Amino acid sequence: MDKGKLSDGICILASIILIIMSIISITRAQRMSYEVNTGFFCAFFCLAPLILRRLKWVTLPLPFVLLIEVSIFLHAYGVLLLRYDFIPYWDTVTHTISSITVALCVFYTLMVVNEFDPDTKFTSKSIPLFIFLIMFTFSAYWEVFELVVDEMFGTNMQYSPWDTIRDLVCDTAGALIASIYAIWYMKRNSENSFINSLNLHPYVTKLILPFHKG
Amino acid sequence: MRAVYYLSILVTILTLILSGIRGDWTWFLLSIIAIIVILLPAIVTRNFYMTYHQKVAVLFPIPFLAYIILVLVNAAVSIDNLEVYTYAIQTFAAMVCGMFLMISISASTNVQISKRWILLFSIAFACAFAIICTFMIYFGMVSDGWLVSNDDFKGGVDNTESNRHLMLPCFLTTFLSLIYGYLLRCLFKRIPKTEISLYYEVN
Repeated sequence: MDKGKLSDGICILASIILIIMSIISITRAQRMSYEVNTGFFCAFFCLAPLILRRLKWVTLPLPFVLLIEVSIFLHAYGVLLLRYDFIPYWDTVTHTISSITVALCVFYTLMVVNEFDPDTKFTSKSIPLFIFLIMFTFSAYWEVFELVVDEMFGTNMQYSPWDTIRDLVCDTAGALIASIYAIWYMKRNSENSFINSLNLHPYVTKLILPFHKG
Repeated sequence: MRAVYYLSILVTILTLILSGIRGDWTWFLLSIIAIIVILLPAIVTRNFYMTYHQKVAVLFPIPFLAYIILVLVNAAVSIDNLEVYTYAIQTFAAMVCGMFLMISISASTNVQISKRWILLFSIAFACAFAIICTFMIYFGMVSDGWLVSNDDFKGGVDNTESNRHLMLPCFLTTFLSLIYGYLLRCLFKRIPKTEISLYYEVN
């Protein structure tokens, strides 16, 4: 079966399941709007890899699409069926899987920069360092975002210092797993074959060009 | 240039000692990183009198001098919210250390990093160091008896102060690193890209 069509099928399936769960959530239980809105939003976001491929912007690798769908699905499932409240480690597991997904996205982005920026050249040994640095940056930005939202709107995104530290540990674990995969991948695969498989739109590659002016 | 080089080494050692005496372990750790970073060219080339481009090298002692002055002033006249100022200076110090580390990697390995990516990774290094600070602050909170766990805040107990205390370095670094990054970008424009990722002799 064509990998692109398989990827599209996974996205559509995940989206349909989440839409059905959201509808069930409305009809069977007294769910607050946050849970249902999360379900529909995640259902739409599941289609992102499909939309990107159909618009010919980028064709994401199939394992990565699977990881994206699992991350979104687990989060929405946890919100809709209150798994975050009833399963103690649900938050930890979903956060770690999401961190692996983001870290892999960082890795793929660095590979693209490596290919199209003539002034920049990463090696397989240096990539993990840069993955960690960027992941820690995202972690800091996200936790600050949660703090600012709590301060401005009185929400409770940051339950406690322990909750924040646990999120940071999950992010670190995600970066570590992605870094190990990155080293393994770069030793076994050529950069050209990966870049070619992405089928990047010229507009996307032009986004990289401003970085090589200096 | 020689004066700047010796000053850089001196202030990082002084900062190490001062932070150790004060029990300011984030600055202690940063000082260790700074000493390694400032001596990296010397270690790599096995020549003590090798350092970075002079236009970036002059930045190095600034945050450490600022910290020393701030601590001495605080000893004389107690400064309110001292940690806000120390974390603000720490952000710049971490960025400078990150920048020098990237230049060193570019100068001494097969890795090539353009000026803009050096800047980007220096911001990332500062954020990464802020995360490390957050861990250290958390352990300090636990030992000092702060409310930290989810159970501590059940029943509507306010978590604002605990969260603010924990997140202060990250909060300051997130915004200040962008401002410092813009200033460093203005400086980088004056340095040709072929010159920045090299080591130079201390004259």
